[in-house]
Amino acid sequence: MTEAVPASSKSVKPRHSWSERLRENPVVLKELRSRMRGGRAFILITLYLIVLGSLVGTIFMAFAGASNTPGSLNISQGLGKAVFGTVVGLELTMICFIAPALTAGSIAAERERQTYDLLRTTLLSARSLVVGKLGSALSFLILLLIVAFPLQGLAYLLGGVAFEEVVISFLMLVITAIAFSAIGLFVSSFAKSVLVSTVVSYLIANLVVFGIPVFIYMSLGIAAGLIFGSSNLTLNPTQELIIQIVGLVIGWFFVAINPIATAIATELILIEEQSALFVSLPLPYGGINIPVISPWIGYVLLYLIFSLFLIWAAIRFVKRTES
Amino acid sequence: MPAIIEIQDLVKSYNGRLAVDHLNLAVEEGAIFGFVGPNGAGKTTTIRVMCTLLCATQGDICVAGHSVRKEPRLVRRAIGYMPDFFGVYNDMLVWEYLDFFGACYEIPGPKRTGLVKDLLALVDLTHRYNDPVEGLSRGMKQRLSLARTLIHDPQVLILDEPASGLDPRARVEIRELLVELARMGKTIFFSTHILADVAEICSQVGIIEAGKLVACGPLEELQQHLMPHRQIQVTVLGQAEQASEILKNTPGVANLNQMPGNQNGGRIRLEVEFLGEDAALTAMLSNLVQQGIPVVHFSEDSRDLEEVFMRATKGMVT
Repeated sequence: MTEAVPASSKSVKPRHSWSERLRENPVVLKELRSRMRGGRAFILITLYLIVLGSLVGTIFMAFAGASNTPGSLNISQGLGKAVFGTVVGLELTMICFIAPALTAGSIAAERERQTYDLLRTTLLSARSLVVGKLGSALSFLILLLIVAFPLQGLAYLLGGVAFEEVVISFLMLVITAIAFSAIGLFVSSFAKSVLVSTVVSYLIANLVVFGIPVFIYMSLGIAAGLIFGSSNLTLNPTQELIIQIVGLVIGWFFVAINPIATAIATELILIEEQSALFVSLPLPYGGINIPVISPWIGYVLLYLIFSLFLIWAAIRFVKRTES
Repeated sequence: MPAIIEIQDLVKSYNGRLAVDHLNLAVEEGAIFGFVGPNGAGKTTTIRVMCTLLCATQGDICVAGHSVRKEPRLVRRAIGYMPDFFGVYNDMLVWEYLDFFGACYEIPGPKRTGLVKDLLALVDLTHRYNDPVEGLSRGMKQRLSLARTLIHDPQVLILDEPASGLDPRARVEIRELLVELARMGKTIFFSTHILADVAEICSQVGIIEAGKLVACGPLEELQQHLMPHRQIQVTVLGQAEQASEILKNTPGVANLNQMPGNQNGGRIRLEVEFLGEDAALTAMLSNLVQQGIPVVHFSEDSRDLEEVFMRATKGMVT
């Protein structure tokens, strides 16, 4: 007969928070050590700040030089908006093109330098490997965002930038970093080489930023031409309303999946409607106003779901054993 | 001793081509097992299945009581794997390399520091503690890789060509390390082309060819089974015909070959395949001398593994 084991002698695995687990992830630790070793990372950050600072300085000088009443409140606010828009726009562009590069080679490089099998025979789970690679890339990207805070702070001090704008822009930048890093990570999880992984990751990133909006725009144009261009077509008011609503939803979606379009639309809504969450859009016909959530909310949710799917898929690819 | 590695009817095929063909093998706990075979024989495929890197088409492997199909994580805990290539992390120091893999095996941070130092001392790399891994010689990288396989104190070490590409001194160092590890209680399973290494240190040998195990067991048993005859070299200074006649009529002599041509001033060498024991061998020599045959050399060739290998294999490649 087996004896019951006293509770005190049972080994209980301590539960760690997600932040503790991320800090203790061996892949994160290794990647950060390698990335921050030597002067490479500091040179990169310095160059990044020089470029960003130079552009902001140029905007500042151009704005101040073109103004007849420098120092006035309106000029100051306008300048603040211009500086903020420049910094956020550049950061957004930087993330769209640097994030895939940071992760596209992450797992494929392990295969190329023949360390992948070494990792796969340890107790390191597929999830830890993938999350570790993502975590280390995101750490560096968020570091680049944080070092640019003083420039955003300058814009905030000049005025014309609400606190909601700073929060929304930071959220959008972080979610963009997660999503575009996840694209590179997903491709890297099945690509055999870093070169193939990088090329495919950039193709997907460009498709997301440029390709899908162009496709939707062209599709909308063709659909509108087919529906409204036919002289024989007669629609009742309900059908017209449905078509308008569908068009509105598609148009909203078209904006919400493109980072630059979302940023511009959200900024316009903040200026016009003074609202960070909702906008009331009038339908072309019928005089009805439809309340729609601000594009940045849709952008954050859509890209979060997209990222989670890509991370899940990457884990599945890494987990499978070669057959 | 119980078997710590059991390969049960292992089959692995790639698009209809059989890489491993119904392999059955058992390795005792504490053994040093040499897995020998020509290129393309199926050694690396077998090892990769054993290390849970590859799915078997059929069959299973149990390592330390755990199935690679059903309990891969427990198998990984029990094994330390060293492939035939050294994967390098650029910008990594020697201690960081071991520390990283220690973390991958869930060894707590405070314990890892001491463990890394102990392992570097074992493989004689303490003096390279803070050096980049990239700058180590090939032999040092192999020793570091061996240290990596030991970080989590596994029961079984699975090494694919551990001495490949090493200079003779480095090979001897690796061999000595393996013997030391076996003395510490580890079971070592390694594949190699270098038969001298197998002959020096292995307690068991398995010879594989075209996916099939053609011979397996302790080396002495293999030698006895595949080369039952003792090879005796007799050199005489003339009267070769008479010596041949005497030897052919000696009990236990299975075959006799006279080597062509005179060597070194009239010496003639005779190769005798002999089945008898030592007493019969000494009687053979005594008989030759008593009959007045001028014997200048009488010795037995050791049955080396190269000869065993050549007799066991047919030179087939899949």
